Amino acid sequence: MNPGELTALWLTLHLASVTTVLLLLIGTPLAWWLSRNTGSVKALIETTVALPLVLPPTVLGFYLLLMLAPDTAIGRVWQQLTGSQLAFSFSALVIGSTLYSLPFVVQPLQAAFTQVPRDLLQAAASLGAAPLDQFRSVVLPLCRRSFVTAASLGFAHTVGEFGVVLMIGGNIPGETQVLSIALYDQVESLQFDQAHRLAAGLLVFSVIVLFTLYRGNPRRLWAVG
Amino acid sequence: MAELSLQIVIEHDSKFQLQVDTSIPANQITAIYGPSGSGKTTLLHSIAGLKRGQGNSRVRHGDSTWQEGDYFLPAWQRAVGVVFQDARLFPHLDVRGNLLYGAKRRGSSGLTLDKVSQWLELEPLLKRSSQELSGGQRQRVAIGRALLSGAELLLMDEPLSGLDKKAAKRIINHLKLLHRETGITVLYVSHNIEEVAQLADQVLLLQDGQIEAQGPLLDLCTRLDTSLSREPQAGAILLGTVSNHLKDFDLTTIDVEGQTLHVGQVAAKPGTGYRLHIPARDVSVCRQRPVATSILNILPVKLADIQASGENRVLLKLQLQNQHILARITRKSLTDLELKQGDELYAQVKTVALLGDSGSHS
Amino acid sequence: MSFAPLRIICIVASLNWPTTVAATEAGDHQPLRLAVASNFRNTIGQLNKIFSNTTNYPVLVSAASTGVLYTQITKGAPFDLLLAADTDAPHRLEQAGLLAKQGRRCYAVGRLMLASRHPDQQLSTLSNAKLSLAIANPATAPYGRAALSVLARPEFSAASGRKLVRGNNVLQAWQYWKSNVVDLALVPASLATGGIPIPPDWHQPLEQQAALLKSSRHKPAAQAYFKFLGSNTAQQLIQEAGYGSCS
Repeated sequence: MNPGELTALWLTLHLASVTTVLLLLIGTPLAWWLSRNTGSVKALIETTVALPLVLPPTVLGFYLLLMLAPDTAIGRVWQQLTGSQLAFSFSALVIGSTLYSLPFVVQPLQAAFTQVPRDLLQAAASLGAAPLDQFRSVVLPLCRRSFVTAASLGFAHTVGEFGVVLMIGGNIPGETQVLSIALYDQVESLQFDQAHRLAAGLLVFSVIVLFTLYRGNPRRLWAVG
Repeated sequence: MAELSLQIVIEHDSKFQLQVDTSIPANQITAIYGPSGSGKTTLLHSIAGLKRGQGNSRVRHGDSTWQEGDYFLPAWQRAVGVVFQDARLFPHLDVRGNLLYGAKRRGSSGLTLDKVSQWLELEPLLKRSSQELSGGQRQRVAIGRALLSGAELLLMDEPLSGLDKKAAKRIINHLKLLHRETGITVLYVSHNIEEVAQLADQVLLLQDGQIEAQGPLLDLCTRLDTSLSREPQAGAILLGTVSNHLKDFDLTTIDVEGQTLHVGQVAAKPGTGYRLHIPARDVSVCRQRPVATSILNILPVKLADIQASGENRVLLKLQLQNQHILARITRKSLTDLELKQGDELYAQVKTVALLGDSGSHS
Repeated sequence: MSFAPLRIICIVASLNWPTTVAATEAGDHQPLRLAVASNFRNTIGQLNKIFSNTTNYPVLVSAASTGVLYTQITKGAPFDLLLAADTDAPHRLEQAGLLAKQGRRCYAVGRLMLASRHPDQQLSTLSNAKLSLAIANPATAPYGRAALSVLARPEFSAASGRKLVRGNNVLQAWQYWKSNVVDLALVPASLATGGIPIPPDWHQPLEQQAALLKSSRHKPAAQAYFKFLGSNTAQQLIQEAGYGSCS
């Protein structure tokens, strides 16, 4: 692997990791709220969360670019706070990936949380556990498997992402050229041998990561999800 | 320990689910008895803080106010332990983990895991997964867990439903032991009169969300005007003392108000207090003391009250010194014998059910 | 323990955040950022080698379709130069005031080729309705539009019912032909080197223009590259790659 490819690999891993962590932090309370509520507000939020499943990635990337560009409110605030531009930066990739992989993390978690019996939480309350405590000591252990699933889905999905990243990142080597785009680049410049190697490497890596995650994830009889 | 004062109103679809205004004495086992839908579970959940009373509802425990006006103390901040009908053990924790769940959060107010496991015979089960236990075992763990959660008040919602007789009996004995050792206030919801008869000191009768009657078990059992008396199992509960064992006949004699009752042999030392249940339908009356009869238990009584019971029967309240017995006879017999209040009669008791150790020793 | 992989992810995530496009740094070793249309991607590599050797400026290439690049540039993408696949995008950038003064020049003229495996290596095979044909998407690629112009000629009208496949871009159209999915392809000469040339007057000129961006953070280097594109060395290389000369 040449240095360019290594950089792309590192960028990809870093992007996927950051996105996964961010999605777990944002997605968990969101999924919990969705699992405990009903009504049209809930339905609206569910729809919004599911949008990235339906929209073509390039469309998503295009609209994101429109929203984060330097001439927009968000872009300007970012510039003021950090001194650098948001669009075409790694931070923009994180924002794009987070939105794009959101349903892959929120939906499994929401399904799992819904299955936790309310009775158990009532029992926990009667034993002195406040709501956050109930979540930490009862819901989390029971839904552990779903967390692993959600994290691995979010991670894998981000690694494979192309359209959004290309649009919002600008395909800048060393900064926003992730593996999937480096591959595309090699194909475009007719470096087919390298492209084959890179693609094979990406495939093997993904298989190893996913296999490890799923293998270390035994299903216990009482576990949810 | 403190008295529990309740003024709770809960409405649903403009119909009262619960409307009570009463207090529960401390340190005693109060049974909440009533048919399904009478609001027993609603009452329990309101006391536990799992359900919120509406309007002017007030719940106070001793000096602490748990609910008043807009103020509402949630369940996890009240010193209550709840034992649910379905145990609700945490599947991801073993028995030990379950037992200590509440203790880790509210402290266990002096009780230790060792002591409670001993009382409930849970020692061999501590390391087991909560999923591997039988129904009776799970309920025992649930009881232990509630007890160890720093509870000053133990609320039990039909904990024996779904258990076989043997397991239920075992748990009732455990509960008696626990109550003796800790003196904790217990609210025990049940629609099984036998459980109530064995455990309760006080009874609260609920009917359609309202309190029909409340008072000591012994009194309430012999009242003729409550729904209790209309139960097929209705009958008096008496307190007596074990006096002698007739080894040749495998019988034990129990002294009640100076009279002797013969019962099946019990493994209790003379002097032990005992609770007895005498079903009204197993009691007949006569004006003269019967002779040469196979019935061993004959008591001299005075007719205190008469109440109609069904189409062709009446319920008699018979006074035996300081206690009472109920008898159910036909209206025809009432007329034939010309029975009236104040008559001195003899009660023939065919069956005496032993409810167990009453906890007192003389 | 199934949470171990999650912990690894957290550790990787918390490591040094890759630098974003930093504010202008003085210094000759800041790379020059080129936005290049996909169809020119394989040629630009060779050009850059020469440029970097003679001037010591490192060059970074970001390739995408001209449309995407144009959108990105209007939204502040940090490029110094755009090498478009047409004249339209540079023209619009100029009208939007995003180009440096006189910042537009032709750098290559595209040539259309017919790639064919037919024993008859003739343009007349385009009138054979039995042969399938791939072109680039006319909606987005100038080469596609040029191909349509060619196909619209009266001598090929007999084959208007042929199977016509539209590739996403010129490369894809060529890949369809190379992997034998279609019999013929109308693609740039830079790709189909062994094909049959199409007379340039059969379609609109496929002039490709470079644009020097006003927002360039590396003006001396950008101007040097802009000039370099018109140099004999560069033009020779470009023509060897299958393009025609500008003029």
